[in-house]
Amino acid sequence: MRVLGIYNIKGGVGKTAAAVNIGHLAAADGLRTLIWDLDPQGAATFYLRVKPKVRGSKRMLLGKRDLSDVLKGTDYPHLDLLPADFSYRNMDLLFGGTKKPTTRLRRLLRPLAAQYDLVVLDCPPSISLVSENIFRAVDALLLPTIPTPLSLRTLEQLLDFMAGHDLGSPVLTFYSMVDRRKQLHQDVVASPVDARCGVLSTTIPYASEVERMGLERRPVTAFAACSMAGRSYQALWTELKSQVAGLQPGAVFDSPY
Amino acid sequence: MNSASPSDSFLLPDDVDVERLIELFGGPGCCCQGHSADFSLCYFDSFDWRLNSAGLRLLQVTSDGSAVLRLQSADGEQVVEPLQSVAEPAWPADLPDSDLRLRVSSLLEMRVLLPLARVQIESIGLALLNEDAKTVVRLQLLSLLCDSPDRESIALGPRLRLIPVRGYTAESQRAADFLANEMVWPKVPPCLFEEALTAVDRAPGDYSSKLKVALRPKQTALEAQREILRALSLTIERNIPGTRADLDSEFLHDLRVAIRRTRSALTQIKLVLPEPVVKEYQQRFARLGQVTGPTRDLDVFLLELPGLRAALPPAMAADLDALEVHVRKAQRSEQRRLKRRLGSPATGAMVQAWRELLDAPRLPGEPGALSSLPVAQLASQQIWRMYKRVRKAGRAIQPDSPAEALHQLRKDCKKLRYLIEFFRDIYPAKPLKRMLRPLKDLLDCLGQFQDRELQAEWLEGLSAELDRSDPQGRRSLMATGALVAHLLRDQHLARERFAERFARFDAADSHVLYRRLFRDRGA
Ligand SMILES: Nc1ncnc2c1ncn2[C@@H]1O[C@H](COP(=O)(O)OP(=O)(O)OP(=O)(O)O)[C@@H](O)[C@H]1O
Ligand SMILES: [Mg+2]
Repeated sequence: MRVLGIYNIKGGVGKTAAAVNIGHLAAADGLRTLIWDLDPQGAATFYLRVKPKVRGSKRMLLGKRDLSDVLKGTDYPHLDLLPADFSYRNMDLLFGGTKKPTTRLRRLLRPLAAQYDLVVLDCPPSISLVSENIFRAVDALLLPTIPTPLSLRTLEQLLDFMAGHDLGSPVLTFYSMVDRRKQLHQDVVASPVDARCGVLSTTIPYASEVERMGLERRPVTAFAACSMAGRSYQALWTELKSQVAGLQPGAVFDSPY
Repeated sequence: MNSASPSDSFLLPDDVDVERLIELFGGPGCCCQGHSADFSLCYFDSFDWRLNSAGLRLLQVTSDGSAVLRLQSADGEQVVEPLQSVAEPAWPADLPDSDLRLRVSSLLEMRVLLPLARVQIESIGLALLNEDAKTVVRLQLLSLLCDSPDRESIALGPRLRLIPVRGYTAESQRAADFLANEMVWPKVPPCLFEEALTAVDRAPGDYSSKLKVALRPKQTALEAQREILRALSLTIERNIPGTRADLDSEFLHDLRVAIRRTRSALTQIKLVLPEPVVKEYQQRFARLGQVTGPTRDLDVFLLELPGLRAALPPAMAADLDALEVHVRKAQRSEQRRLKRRLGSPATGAMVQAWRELLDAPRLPGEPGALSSLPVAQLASQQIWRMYKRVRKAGRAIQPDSPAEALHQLRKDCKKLRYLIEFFRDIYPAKPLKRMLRPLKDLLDCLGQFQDRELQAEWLEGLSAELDRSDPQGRRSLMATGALVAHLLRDQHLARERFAERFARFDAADSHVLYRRLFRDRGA
């Protein structure tokens, strides 16, 4: 099982859009995939048409309730969701009161290893105890970045933070919501990035199809696979597979008998 | 109320298609059509159903160019990890290294996997939706077409399979209850195995190398003997095609055992069948037995070779390669000869004539003097007589008795064993099993004593044919010599074990059983 965290300190950069589309593509490749919507606002949960409610979520987060009991199948074979719950907004406090508070998430995920090939964490924007838990739980951190100079500075801050906390997982970034008409975007995309961070060559364009996910309540890769945005997510997933070990197409074989 | 479970499958009435299903589940807002897919599924087992006897099913499922092998329990549960494998399975040892191979090969031993039945499956996906138009239950509408290597295709009834979506079990349960109780559609088992076999006219366990004859104690000896011979003739007929095709070595083995049993049933059940019939077929089956001998000897050697190799010093084991090549060549040529002989019109006519004779309402010639005796009485008398003979001969064997005495004893032990097995049905099962155990162990010991000697002799003869002009040939000659020594040592061990094995056969408590079961009933 690989754990992929989709993260940024900043909000509204396309984390959730990436999490849902990548999760969908991975499942279509036959990887048994779980998306955990860690954001109490529940955007990913909404896109996948699941109710943003986890019964006994507090006990679940404290490891007193089996994660398997709260998982939901989605419209897509091999793609499951651990839904958001409003109580996640207190996750910091909850984790803070436990022993070894920074590895809670990692330990919660461990029992799922036999059931899933890939877990995608859709992370809330912030830098907090929960983020540190995420850094310690993932095999790779994927950062959507809007190509502006300010975003690049935020990225450096994050890398400093991670270095300071001795967090070894590889960090990959890709440019998100890229507007080809903006010279500034083009310049930033062309400029060098902090060497501690890998940069994927795929960029996700600014596209109305992605916004339409809120209406369709489906991944772009499901309702507009051949659109520019759909193909970009497909290219992103393909590149990700080549960069992160263990994401090769699964051995899952669906047959009635 | 019928109890239904959220992952049941239901048999569909003929007039129910996708449109009708959507309508039944509340229309397009509640149920929508999804992906379609085609699958092909094939079940495998050995000719004698070894997997089935262990409660297992082996199936290969193919779709879109990829394939998996699955090993399942009788209720469709996965037993080991499925195995990606496109090639049609045959020899368990040739399967990719896996738990599945381990399980299958330990059960199959020397037997090959054969296709039993194939099912072509067309699947149409459907989804039940909730108020958010989200899938909460998956359905598969399945059309199935069944065939086998010797049966044309037959359609199995179309069915609807429920696949619960994680976290929405209540919805699947509701759908299952609806189908079971309101539509009242019958449930079908989660595993197709029995259905598919029935469709191609097979039944699990429809062949066994064990002789099973249904007898009634009051039956006349003549009827019983015919029953036994008929069962054996069936076994003979069923093993001929596989022997000719050399599918695996057990066809020939079972064929030979059935021939030996037939000869034994002809001669050891005395004074029942008309004398001329006994004489004629005794000779014919003796000849058929001889025809099958040489190939079997080579088969046995090849089957035992890995074990024999392991008994030699590792440096020497590889030197047996030349010998193995030689034996394999010999086996192939003997097998070809056997194939011809078994396929000849003469053999075919003789097997058929024998079957017809056994099926005929009246036998030619005058039945033997004991033909109308109740079978229980006749069987008991003859088993008791043979038992006494074995006991006497065995007790007479001393450490310095000639090998010939042990060989003779082996023959008598076999006759005793066959007699008991022929008439198994008319005796209580438990004591019979208790008596057979020491007899079988004794036979194993005597068998090892004789077979090892014959193999050693045969190998010595063979080494004369090995090329000794080059170093390689000389090395394999040495290895063969070492093998002969090993075989003779083995034979010696068997001889040492004999006294103890015979003593167990001849134990007082066992004797009491023989007396009660056979002497008293024979009176
Ligand atoms: N490539 C894109 N083109 C156009 N709009 C996009 C694109 N990616 C995301 N959006 C839109 O931008 C908004 C924010 O996107 P998204 O929710 O994916 O970001 P996020 O980083 O997860 O945000 P948050 O931090 O609030 O969780 C959404 O309305 C989404 O539809
Ligand atoms: Mg988000």
